[in-house]
Amino acid sequence: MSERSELIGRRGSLPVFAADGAHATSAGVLGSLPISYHHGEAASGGVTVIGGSSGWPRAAATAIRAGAAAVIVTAPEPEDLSPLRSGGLIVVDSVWAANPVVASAGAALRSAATAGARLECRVRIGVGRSLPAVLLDQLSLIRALLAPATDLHILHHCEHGFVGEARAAGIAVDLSAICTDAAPERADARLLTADGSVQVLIPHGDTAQPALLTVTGPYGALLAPTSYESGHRAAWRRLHHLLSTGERCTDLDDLEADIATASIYPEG
Amino acid sequence: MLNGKIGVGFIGAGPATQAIHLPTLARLTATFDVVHVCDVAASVGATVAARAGASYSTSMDGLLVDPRVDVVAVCSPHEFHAAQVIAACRAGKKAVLCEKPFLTSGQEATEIAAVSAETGVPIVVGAMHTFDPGWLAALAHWDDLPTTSHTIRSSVVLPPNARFEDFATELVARPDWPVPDLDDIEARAGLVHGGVMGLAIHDLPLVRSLLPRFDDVTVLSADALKPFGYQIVLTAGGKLIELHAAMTATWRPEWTLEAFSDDQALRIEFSPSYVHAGSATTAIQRAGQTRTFGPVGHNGYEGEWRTIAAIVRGEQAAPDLATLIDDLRFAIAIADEAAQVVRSAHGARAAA
Repeated sequence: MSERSELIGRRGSLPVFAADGAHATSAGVLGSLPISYHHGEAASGGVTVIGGSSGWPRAAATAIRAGAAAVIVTAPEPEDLSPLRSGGLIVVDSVWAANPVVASAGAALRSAATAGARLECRVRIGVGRSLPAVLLDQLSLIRALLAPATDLHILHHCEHGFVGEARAAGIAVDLSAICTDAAPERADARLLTADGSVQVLIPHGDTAQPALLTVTGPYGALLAPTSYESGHRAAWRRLHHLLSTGERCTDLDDLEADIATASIYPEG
Repeated sequence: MLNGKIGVGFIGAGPATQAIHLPTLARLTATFDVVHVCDVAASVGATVAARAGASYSTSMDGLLVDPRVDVVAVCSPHEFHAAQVIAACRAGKKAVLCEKPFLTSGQEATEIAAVSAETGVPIVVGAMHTFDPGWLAALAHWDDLPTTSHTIRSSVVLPPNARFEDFATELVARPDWPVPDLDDIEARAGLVHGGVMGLAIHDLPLVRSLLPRFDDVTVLSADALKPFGYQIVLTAGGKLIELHAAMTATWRPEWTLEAFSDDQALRIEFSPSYVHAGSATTAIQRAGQTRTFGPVGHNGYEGEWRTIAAIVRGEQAAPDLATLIDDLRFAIAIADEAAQVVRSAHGARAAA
């Protein structure tokens, strides 16, 4: 039995310690996973939840040094990850990529992403959001749905959003972010193929409103079964699975690569 | 007018006449009579005219001297529009409907403006979305969106025209669907230009109505999509505009226009071309509320003919010609610059 699975085996459920700024998110998810997790008073020996605002890598490293078995970072902003090089299990709870629809949506998109297909990844986000962070969230989603984005080029950016182009899995990707408070935040990824489409609408990770995956082909359109589970809860379940099985987690490597890609976002 | 009905004559008996206007006028027989069809292809003209119980001719002059023709509908290839609209105005008709694009150059716009001022004949451009009740609802309810919006997107995903033409009518003499060689840079640039003037132009008057000005069109990116389509990103009037179209083998039409401000979001879902599937549905979101308008039973095609009837009867003012010409100038500016961006991008790739 690995050290991680021993942790689960000994205690039945994992203690969760919410760092400053992560209490609200943590309490909501904890209430929906009462067997897998329980409230903890300190980082040592359990899971620490931290928000992804500026300085989060140092906060995560501090939790690991204090004995946390794992850290969940929610909506991480692009930061220098060097404080985390000493190791520790970090699970990224990305705004859209953490949604439970991503596994089935990714399979549908990857099988349809043949030559000539084109992926649109459009997000609607609140006014005032950090746009480099939004771009990172988008890149994480594109990676989860299809493949890492390459050849990123920002065509236009301003306080109202941005529009850009990239490639992933050999096809063109159009990215855009639109700032508005008129409607809830949402990601809309649509792959247009020669005779149909794969579209997935993903709400913000705070809500259990289901993502909608629709595959359209010559036979008709199929709406995949819906999961009324928030992205946060799905990320916590994934962490529990990782700790139970000892499977390797690539979140930090993937995030570091996406941060490097997002670093071309123009300053100012 | 015959028996109180408005007589209509068509110049050009191609798909627009057959699949759009005749089925539309068949829904408005209490108001309109199709009396004359003119086409250079006699067999096509005769066949289409017979469907409507109209006479036919192979020259425009024969139609223009027909006293039963109150309204001339110009549905010929684009390059003939200007001369035929001018001739119809000079013939003293009660109104002229010109299929889009209205004109193809600024010079033609100047000539049309002069003739319209001289003759006073009302001109209506067949930009059906501008007559769609869903769009008109947006105009009535979007409050300050023209001032506050910062991002606008038009997206069109459609199967080839034949799918909906065949739902609308039984077409004769269908033109070949061109398959451009996108490795040929001029063909690629031409596809983008033609896409703007033939497809994006449906929504460009709507886009322009959200702009404070359009003399600063800057195309940031433009390319053709296979097998037919375009992806264009531009700025104008201080706003970001995305124009997207993909005509594929899909059966599923999706035609949307969206606009966003910090506190308001507009989404219009149009029904596809040709068929009478009702109006667009418009949703306006603001402060946690969504207001939805439509769909109602008639679409923009019927809306434009209803408008023509009201104009001919003196119940409604004719569209402002300067507005129609500005719509056209906006479209031409985007089409020209987008085509040039395609050429420049190709040149840059070749140099690299």
